[in-house]
Amino acid sequence: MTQAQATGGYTPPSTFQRWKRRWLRSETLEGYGFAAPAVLGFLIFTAGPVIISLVLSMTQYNILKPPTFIGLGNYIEAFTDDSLFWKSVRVTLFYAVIAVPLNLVVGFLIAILMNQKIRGMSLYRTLWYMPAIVPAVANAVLWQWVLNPDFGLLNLLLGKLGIPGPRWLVVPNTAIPAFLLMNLWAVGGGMLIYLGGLQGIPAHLYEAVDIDGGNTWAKFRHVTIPMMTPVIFFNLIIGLINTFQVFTPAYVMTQGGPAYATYFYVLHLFKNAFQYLRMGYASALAWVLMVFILLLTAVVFRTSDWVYYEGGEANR
Amino acid sequence: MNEQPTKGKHLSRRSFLTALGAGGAAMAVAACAAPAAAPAPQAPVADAPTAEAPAAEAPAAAAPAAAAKVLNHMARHDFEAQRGALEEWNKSHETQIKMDEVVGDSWDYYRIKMMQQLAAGNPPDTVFTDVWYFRLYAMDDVFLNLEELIASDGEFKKDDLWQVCIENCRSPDINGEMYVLPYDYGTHVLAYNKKLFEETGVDPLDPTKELNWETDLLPLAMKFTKDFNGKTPEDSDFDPMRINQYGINPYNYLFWWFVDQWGGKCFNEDFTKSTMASPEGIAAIQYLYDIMNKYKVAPSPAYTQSQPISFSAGKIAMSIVATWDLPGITPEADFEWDVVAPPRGKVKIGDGRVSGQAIMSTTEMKEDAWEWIKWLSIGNGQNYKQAGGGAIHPVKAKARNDAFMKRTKSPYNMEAFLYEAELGGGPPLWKQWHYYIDLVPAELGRAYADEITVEEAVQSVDDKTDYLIANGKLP
Repeated sequence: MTQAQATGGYTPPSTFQRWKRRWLRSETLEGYGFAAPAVLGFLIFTAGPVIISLVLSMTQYNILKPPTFIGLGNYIEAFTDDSLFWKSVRVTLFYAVIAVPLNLVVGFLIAILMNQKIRGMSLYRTLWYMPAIVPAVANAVLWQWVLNPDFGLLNLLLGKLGIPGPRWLVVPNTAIPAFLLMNLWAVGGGMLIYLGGLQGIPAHLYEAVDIDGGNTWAKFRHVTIPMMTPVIFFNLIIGLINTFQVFTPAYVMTQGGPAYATYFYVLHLFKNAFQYLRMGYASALAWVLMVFILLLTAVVFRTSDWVYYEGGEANR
Repeated sequence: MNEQPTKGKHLSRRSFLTALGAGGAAMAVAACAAPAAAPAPQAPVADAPTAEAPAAEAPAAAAPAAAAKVLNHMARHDFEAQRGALEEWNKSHETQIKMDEVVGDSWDYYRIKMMQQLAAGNPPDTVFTDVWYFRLYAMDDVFLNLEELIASDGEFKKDDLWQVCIENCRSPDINGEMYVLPYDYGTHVLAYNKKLFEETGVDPLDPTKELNWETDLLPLAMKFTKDFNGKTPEDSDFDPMRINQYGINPYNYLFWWFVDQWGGKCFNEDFTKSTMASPEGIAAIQYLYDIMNKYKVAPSPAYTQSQPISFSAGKIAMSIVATWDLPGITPEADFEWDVVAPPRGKVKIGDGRVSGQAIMSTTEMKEDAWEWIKWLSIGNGQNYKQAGGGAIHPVKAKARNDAFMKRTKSPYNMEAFLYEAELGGGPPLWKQWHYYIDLVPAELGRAYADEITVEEAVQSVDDKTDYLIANGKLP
């Protein structure tokens, strides 16, 4: 007796049919449909160009003529035959080494101030955050005025205090400090994240310190900082990634000068791509930067034992 | 009570997605369809200029017109001239032009857009191009060599043009042939702020007398340079850290002009060796260094790059300006000013530069494209450029036209620009200019920033340029 006979003429669906029916009936199709724009957008506008840039990084390509495959030639040239590459690496590293911790500390301190219960705090928070949403080019133009050594607001204020203001972007020694200062102005973005973290710290932890007779410093040292380490860690990673990609202020304000003092890595990349039309080489530079940031981030993750995750294991 | 289904009133998710997909597919199909025919041209105007499109050759008005696409760059102040020219062309010609306006002062952005179109396989037929970069495009046959079209054209004659308009539009180290027609030509002169001269008790500059950079200009600039206490560099208590007003902006990015004026040369004859580090070349750059760093009468290049200071703001008494600067300065400057011939060095030579119109070698409308760029260069299209007041007519005989010469606002001495055009002279444009123009200011900037001496900086320029010549890239 066949199965059909045994079941009164009913043929049970095959595995494939069951799977197909279930897939069609379920919300899978809709799910993929709704996700499709984002997935396609990522594949076409992000993943695609990323892969193509990897291919181009192994070619000599000026857009005007078809690319010529040269293997690792561009990478070798960057490390062995491009003095501006190393110059830009030095400038960027120097900037990053100061900018990242400076922004972490200042952002944190301002967030603590903005977490106090005083009248008009919403206004202060808004004021601190506003520069973070000013477009980068507008920010650069604004700071051109602020940093003007003769007429600028900053030197005017320093003058009122009896301090002779430096020549800021005009001389090499003060160009990077000027950039650091400008970067601090937009610290509101990080501050907002810190503020969210601060407000998520349970009050009972502070009460426990009170009961133990701890003072304000003890609260800060033993509650605030440990509880904020995940947020500090997040801001550290984001800060590192952003700092190594500084471009707009250098492009708008100094073009890498004076005397290459602000010749950042991404400016070097841009010049190769769009001024010298060396798209292959610029792609290689982009990949070198990507790998460097990736490695740096991995190192930071590997050394993140200091980060406290509530409810988790020691550091996770 | 059970709720009644509302079937038919709402789309199910699946129906919605099906409809969305169908709509997307329909749009994709529509996007791939053949483009709509260009609008039929208007009947030719009876008295319209006919040189570019002779009536006898014009096809019947009912025939569909081919649309030539044009990528055109223009500065903000130039839109009016370009749009006016476009409108007249489209009214009077069979072939319609579609213009892609790229807003912004930066050539970088314009260049990126042009390259995007090239990379996408969708290049325009003609482009407005700067002289800085066109050699790249010429070398790789992106631009059409215009010599054949020039030779077969009865109207366009090289001999009619200013010499710089020819020199800038070709490159001696490629093949010496023209790839660009001149469109936006200008020379450099000395602008001075009459109001500041009057306030300082100095007579206005005599347009018939030429100044010398060292013996005339420098002492004059000293008088006008003032700190916030009104002290000049000649005063012992002058504060060079707080300068309120500069005497001169020499536009020091024109380094080649200063080298030429001091009797030096940036290159040998065939561009196979950099020769800036001659005693004359070093002296020229030393002069620029001195007026910035020693006498403090001029802002440094780093200053002008990073700080919004300009002649039109009234904070610089004298400035080298170019013809193309006029449409920007005139509406901004709320004081009387004028121009005279620039100061001279040991060699009397002018400096001029031209941006132009080129045809992409991929165009399928070569003849139409030629007529269009020729019309912009020497035809009625150029009249609109002249009306804007920021360019010298590329044709010598038409340069003294009323639109250019008779101005109702400062500056009035337009003859000064033409005098410089007669003198000739211009940047040593060569095929690696796009690297060179980045390299030299950066190297000289090291001297201006006191990192190295002028002599070392100029020698560094020579060394790095020689490397560039030999290797086609920067060291």
